[in-house]
Amino acid sequence: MKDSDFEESDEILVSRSKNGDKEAFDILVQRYRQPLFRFIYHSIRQKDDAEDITQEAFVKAYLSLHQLKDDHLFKIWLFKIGLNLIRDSKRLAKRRKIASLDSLMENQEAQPESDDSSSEEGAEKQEIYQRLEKEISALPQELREVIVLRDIQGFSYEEIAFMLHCPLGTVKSRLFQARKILREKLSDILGDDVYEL
Amino acid sequence: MNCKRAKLLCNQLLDEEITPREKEMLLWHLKNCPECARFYEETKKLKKALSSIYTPSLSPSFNRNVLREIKSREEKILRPLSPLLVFKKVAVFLLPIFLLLSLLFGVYTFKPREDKFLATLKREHIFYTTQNPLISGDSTVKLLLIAGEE
Repeated sequence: MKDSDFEESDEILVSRSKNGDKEAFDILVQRYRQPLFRFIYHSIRQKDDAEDITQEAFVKAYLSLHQLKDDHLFKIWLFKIGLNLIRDSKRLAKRRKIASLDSLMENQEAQPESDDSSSEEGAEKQEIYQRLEKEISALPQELREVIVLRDIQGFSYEEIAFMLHCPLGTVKSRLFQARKILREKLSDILGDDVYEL
Repeated sequence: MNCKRAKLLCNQLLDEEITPREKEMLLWHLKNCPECARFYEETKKLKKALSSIYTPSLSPSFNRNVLREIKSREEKILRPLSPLLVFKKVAVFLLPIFLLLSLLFGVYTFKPREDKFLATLKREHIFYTTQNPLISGDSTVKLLLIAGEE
């Protein structure tokens, strides 16, 4: 794999992957594995399952690359596959109704080990993140999807609307609702000081 | 601009999805409305916290696992089917068709054999009349034969 390959656009890499070039697809995996995992992890909050779903999303993407008409939309298309897999896994989990104690414990272990955890600021940050995680996972699914895609992943309204198959107005209102809920739940943390505009 | 609209636009301003005109109106409103200004700041803090939220790292072998899985699925797709499996698949496909055709053919070709039925009836009648001499069988047999001819 050449260094210049890493600078290739998605479009070129997708086109090469469609012709069976696995090295090109490997670069795409390298490029989007962490963002996709981030999105999936914050949607389901189970590290192992999130990793499995991320892997499955890439495998599905590769095997159905021929269905992608606009190669430059690879990223959004990949996240859409991830989103569908999250929904499927949730349906499955709902049916099983299994709450794994192991994964819960693992998640607790997986919390960040910040260097400044001893300091007051570090502890405060940690508390905010833990509260955030908890409140995000308590959101209804459609609100959680939007907030993770926008605020954690940084997708535009239009991209989110495309992924979720819904109008732009719905994205805006869901985002407003999600932030409203989070603000209310975290008001003790967020409302400490008000800045001057 | 009312506060409800201003709060909606606060989100759009923070997401940089606002028109210049809306931005101008919103900033003017925020300067004059402490409640909306507070709302804006809280949302800004929330957004900042969300964007820097912790995410664990993927395992180092992730890429290798993806490529291995792709290879294994491709092999599965391309692997030729065993003759027994092909036979089973063909049998499962053809059996219902065969049964349906047999049923249709059987119904179409079925005809009650009237002549055999009449002969049996006649034989049984003669036997019955000979056994019971008080019943005259001639007229009845004639009638039956006429009916059969018709």
